[in-house]
Amino acid sequence: MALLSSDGLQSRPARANNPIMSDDFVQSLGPAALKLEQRGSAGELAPIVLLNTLLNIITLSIYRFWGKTRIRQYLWRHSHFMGEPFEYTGTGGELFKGFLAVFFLVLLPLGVISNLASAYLDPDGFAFTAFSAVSYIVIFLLIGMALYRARRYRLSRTSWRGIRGSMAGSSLQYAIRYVVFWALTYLSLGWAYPWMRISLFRRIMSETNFGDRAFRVTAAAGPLYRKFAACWFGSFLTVAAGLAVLMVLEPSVYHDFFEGFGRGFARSSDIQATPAILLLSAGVLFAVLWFFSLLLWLPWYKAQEFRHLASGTSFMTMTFKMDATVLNLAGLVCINGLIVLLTLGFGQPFAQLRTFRYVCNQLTIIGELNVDWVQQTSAAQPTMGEGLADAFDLGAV
Amino acid sequence: MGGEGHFSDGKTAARHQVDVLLDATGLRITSDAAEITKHWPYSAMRAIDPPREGTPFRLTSQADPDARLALSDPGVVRELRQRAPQLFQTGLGRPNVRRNAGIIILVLLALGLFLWQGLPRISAPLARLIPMEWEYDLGLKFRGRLLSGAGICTGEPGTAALSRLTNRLIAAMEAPPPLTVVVADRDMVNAFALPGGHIVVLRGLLEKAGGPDEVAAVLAHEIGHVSERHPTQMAIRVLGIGMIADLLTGDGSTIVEAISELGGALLLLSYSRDMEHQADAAGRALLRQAELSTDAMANFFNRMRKAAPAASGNSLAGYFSSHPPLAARIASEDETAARRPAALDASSWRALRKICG
Repeated sequence: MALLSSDGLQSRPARANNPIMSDDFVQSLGPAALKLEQRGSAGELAPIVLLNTLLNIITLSIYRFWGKTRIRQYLWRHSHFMGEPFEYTGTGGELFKGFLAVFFLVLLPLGVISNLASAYLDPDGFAFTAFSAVSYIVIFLLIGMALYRARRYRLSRTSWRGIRGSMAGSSLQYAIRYVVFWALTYLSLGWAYPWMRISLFRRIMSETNFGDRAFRVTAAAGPLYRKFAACWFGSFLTVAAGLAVLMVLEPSVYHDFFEGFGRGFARSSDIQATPAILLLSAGVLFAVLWFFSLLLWLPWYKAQEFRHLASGTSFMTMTFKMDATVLNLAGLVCINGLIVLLTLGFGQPFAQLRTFRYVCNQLTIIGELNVDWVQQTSAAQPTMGEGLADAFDLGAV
Repeated sequence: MGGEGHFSDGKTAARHQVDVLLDATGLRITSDAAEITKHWPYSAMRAIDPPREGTPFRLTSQADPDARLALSDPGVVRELRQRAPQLFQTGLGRPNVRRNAGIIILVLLALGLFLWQGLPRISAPLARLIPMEWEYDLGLKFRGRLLSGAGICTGEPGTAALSRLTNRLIAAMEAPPPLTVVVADRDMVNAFALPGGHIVVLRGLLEKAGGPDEVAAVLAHEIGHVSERHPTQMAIRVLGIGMIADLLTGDGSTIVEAISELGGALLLLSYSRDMEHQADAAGRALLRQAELSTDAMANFFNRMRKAAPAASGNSLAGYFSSHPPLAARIASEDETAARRPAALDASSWRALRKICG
């Protein structure tokens, strides 16, 4: 580990003569010092992952909370800011407690209620329909809360030079926004998406504190709409043009594919294959193709979005720049996906390491940071961790 | 012995260069410029990360849990290792490792104990708490799933014969549970009870039975299960097992599946020997009350066994393989059996056997 030996406490610049200033104020003036680095390696991570996998099997997966904690300790400890490591202070016991609480207070009652409803309510009746609608909303709300609370827990257990992070807001308020924005996104055929991203990002970042200081987001949704429109129409044209070319080359495509789908649908649901039904099902099929085409265009939009969000964010006198491109982003997502897929999920920590490394490598920090002005947070720390996120399988890290 | 280190006091994010002195009881941390004087006893200190070559050794103390001291002077670190070796432990020697292992083992033991002893013990009292009327709809759903498309036989004269037979048994009970007895169009030799007083007899059993008494005996046995609330107990056990599975995997969806698959699981999970003995005793008591032959079931079993001896074939696999008490009870004990009238007259019996058309 040549990198580690250059950890550099000895090689730091000469100490400031001004006794009031801390010794790294000088360092903070140099732009190179404000650098995030990830110094971990897959080779070092591998024994931890292997041991975790083994212990998970032996303990019928109860060990996973402690295993996850060890991975996080590794990832945090090898992430450096200004040459000094982050620290993960959470414990497996906290994650386990959080899981138990959510299991008995949320999952179990939810499971019992939904099963009683499906046992006692008439599946075609109004009551059951209303119940299903409400439970969808509740589950979406819980997902929003889970995302927020998991972040709160992780930040409260993240420290740098002993200073902790925190989330200042309410998870329920975030969750309500989350649900409303997703509903708007669906209703507007995607057009509310950039607005949602900006709004949720602004909310979550302005409530994110390091010590007693919060991040500030000035990014607006406007500039993203040009990219989004290009994406939206571009994916439409991709599908339309692709189909047009196909039909010219092989005119039976419409008949075999679209009409075949429509007739199959009509047959399976016992309705007449009228021209209207056939047209409708062709439209649905087109929408599905369009959606997949939109997914292909998404990395391009996402790269723009990340750059836009990063450059619209600041912390005290620091600003950020993210060098996300469609190529490096698609590479990250695809290879991470492959790693997880080929290792049946056991290799997730390697994907996380790559994500950490990506963010550290692509993020440039501009400006300076007066560390004397960052004081310890007074926010209360949650006593247990991210049970909700665990339950809904949202634990990204 | 001393040297230099870097100190963050946990109040601001600043880092200060400090002088570190190791004395008999602890670390003395001082900086004139930053006005720091701290004394951290060795016993109150904790290593942030395990010690690693080429990386500063980072420490904190109970009195200043947010403060961090980083030592990169190899001489100081070597000296500290001699004075406070507990800070340098790795592997199983690290603090909390044994405690965490203890927690995990205890959790696994508790879960095992719950499955092995707790669940069977609480399922009976729990089942008694649930009014059987509440289970009716649930049982109906399970019945539908279990039969998966096999029709309920509704031949008019057969249904009348079946209710005559059922009513004869019900009339002999002091506090009969609400019962719904049906015949399903399946050629397996089987019968089962479900939550909510649902009893299903499969067509195959009617066809292989030697007479109405044998069907009455099977029915009395199943009514015994219902009276003892065995189907509900089994449902509670399946739920409990599903819950443990969820706890282990951390997946909320299994519990939902467990409940919806309950019907299927009820059949997979056979009744315990105790439950069969209870149902057998209750069934025979009921037959005696109704003045019916208590030997019919054993006769039925013996005949089935002779019909397919070594192969223990399909016909036996169904009902009788899951009823061990019957296998043990072969000897006749009811001397008056021959003189008792049959449970159904000949024409009703014919009608019952043709209930599925």
